[in-house]
Amino acid sequence: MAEMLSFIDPQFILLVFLGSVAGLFVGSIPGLSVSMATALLVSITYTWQTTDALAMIMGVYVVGVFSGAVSAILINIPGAPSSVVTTLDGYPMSKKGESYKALYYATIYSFIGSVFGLVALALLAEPVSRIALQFRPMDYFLLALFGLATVGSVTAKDYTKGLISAAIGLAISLIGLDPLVGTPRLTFGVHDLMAGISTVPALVGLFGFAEVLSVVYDSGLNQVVLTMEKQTVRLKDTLKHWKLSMYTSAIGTVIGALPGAGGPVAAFLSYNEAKRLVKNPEVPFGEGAVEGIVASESANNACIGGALIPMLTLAVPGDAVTAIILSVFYVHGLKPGPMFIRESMSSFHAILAAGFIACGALLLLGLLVAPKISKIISVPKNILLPLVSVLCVVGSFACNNRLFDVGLMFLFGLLGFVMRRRGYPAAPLVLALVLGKMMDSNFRRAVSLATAADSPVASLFGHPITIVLLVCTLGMIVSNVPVFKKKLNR
Amino acid sequence: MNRLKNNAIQEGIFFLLIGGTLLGYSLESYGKSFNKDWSQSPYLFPILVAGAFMLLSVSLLANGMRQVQAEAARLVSLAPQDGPTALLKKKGGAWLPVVIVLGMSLLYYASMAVLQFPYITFGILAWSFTISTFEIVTFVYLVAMMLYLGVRKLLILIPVPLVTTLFLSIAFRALLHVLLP
Repeated sequence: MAEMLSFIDPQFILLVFLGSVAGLFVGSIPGLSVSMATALLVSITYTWQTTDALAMIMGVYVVGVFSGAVSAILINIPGAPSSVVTTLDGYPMSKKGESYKALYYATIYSFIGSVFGLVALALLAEPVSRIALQFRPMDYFLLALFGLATVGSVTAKDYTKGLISAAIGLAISLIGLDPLVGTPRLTFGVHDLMAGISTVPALVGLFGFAEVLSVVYDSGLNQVVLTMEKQTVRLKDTLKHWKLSMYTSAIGTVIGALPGAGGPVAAFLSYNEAKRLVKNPEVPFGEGAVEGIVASESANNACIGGALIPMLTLAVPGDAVTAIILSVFYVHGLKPGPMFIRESMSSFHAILAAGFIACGALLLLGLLVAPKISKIISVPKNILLPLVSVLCVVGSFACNNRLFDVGLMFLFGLLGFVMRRRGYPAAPLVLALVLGKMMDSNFRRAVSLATAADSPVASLFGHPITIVLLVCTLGMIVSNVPVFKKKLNR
Repeated sequence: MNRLKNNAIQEGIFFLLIGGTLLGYSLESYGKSFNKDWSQSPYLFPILVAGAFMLLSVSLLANGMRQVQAEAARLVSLAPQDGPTALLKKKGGAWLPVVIVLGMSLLYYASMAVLQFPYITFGILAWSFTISTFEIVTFVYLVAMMLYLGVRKLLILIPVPLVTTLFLSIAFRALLHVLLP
């Protein structure tokens, strides 16, 4: 603790705060990602002292993950895949004029989730990384499958439609060079498809542009103005959900520690748990339940601490941002690994100190900015919709600097619109698109290992973690089959 | 024929075809590929996805059949004066505005891809600001969209698109050095 307090000097705090402001900006604009901002910072901070570089990067990371919720709540465009779940209840709250309340909850529980993850990093780095090391390729495949099975059940009234949406996402993720041997799949000679379908155009199209088309479809050319309710949100009421937050933060930390799984899976699993645990929410889930925001935001922010655990203790990054932070370590001559915490104690404390200060900045910026930007929903729709369309174009272009991605965004927008009309949720598609390549490579690795083993079945399914995940996945699917569902409800 | 009018059955057939096509594509590509080891094949996972599509579409078809049967039973139990049309009335939305908004957006996209305005740079002391195709096309698109969606006040129709375009241009191109279309 004393070592961490030694970092509390004005320059260190200022750098964290500057990074936090940058994180708020890039995280809330679709197309500008936290990983993009961190990558830019690597070149800027190249000549800085390690602690200063880490201060700024942690500021961007912590606040950037939170600010994905801002656009998710206000205009139904998640700033990042991990904020998709926040749209499920956040945007309906905005439509009811409760955007301030939604942003307030998102801020408070992002703060709690982030602090939880960092405390876990400080106290449990070694045991959690040991659990993460036990995961085999089949376990990663089943974890992703469990995530998809869960998201199908939490986002759709008809479970089959939820799963079909996930299957569409998996099929789209197949497009491009395959992740293991580099064979082009489903590209049909189109050169731009070789790199695969990026998540950002899909995310922006399925949520943002589809929303534009849906509003035009539902209201025609009538003027629609959402009114904001004047609300006083009391901290005491907000903190009522602390138990749910702790539970979902724990899920977020563990899932965050698993390389490749990350925020989206953690948020969906936590949302499912919230639905299971909170039997009688004041507002039903999917229609503006604050519990949905609590679960999603606690989990995806707790992933920050979780993702740093394998990065620091095993040199295995948990997500894209930690992969870039890893490069910062190498640039500054540090060697993450089993001996890192003992050998580079000051850098470890710098990360923790910067993380905790960034949590404070998150709270400050969230509470100060939320009332101001929540007014955006009172802008008449006939002015807001064209602006959102242009934001969709800029966001989808900025991720790869390709006009092809803008075309894809429009295509996904149309797909999202048709899917909404037919009752198919977009969230499983996005999650499947994010996880598709990871599932593909791990499934094939698992099968390769099994074919070389004496007993292929035991090699595939004989591991304790595999058995647990298999039982959970099958249980999730079976419990949603109408016949069994009726029996379970009885 | 009534069965084919059911949404779930239509979708079931559609996804069955998607699954079948993906399966056919994977098997054909596997047949042509040099590597015949399934465990290493890039077409193993697509087959799994195709299988999932087919299983799920069967579930959709079964749902659809149940719905058709239930609908038929309801129609039989209805009094003649209620008539089947009472059941078929649905709340519809406006398709034409959707098509027009989509058309305008595609035109916006196409004009960014095709048109090439020269770069015009304004310099103020050490700071410079450039406008080109994106700025011009975006301004026109925003004005056109707002006009179509019913904005008539000149005080909104010109300043809002102008400020938005300039803000995006300055924020992305000048401050963040992020390329714009």
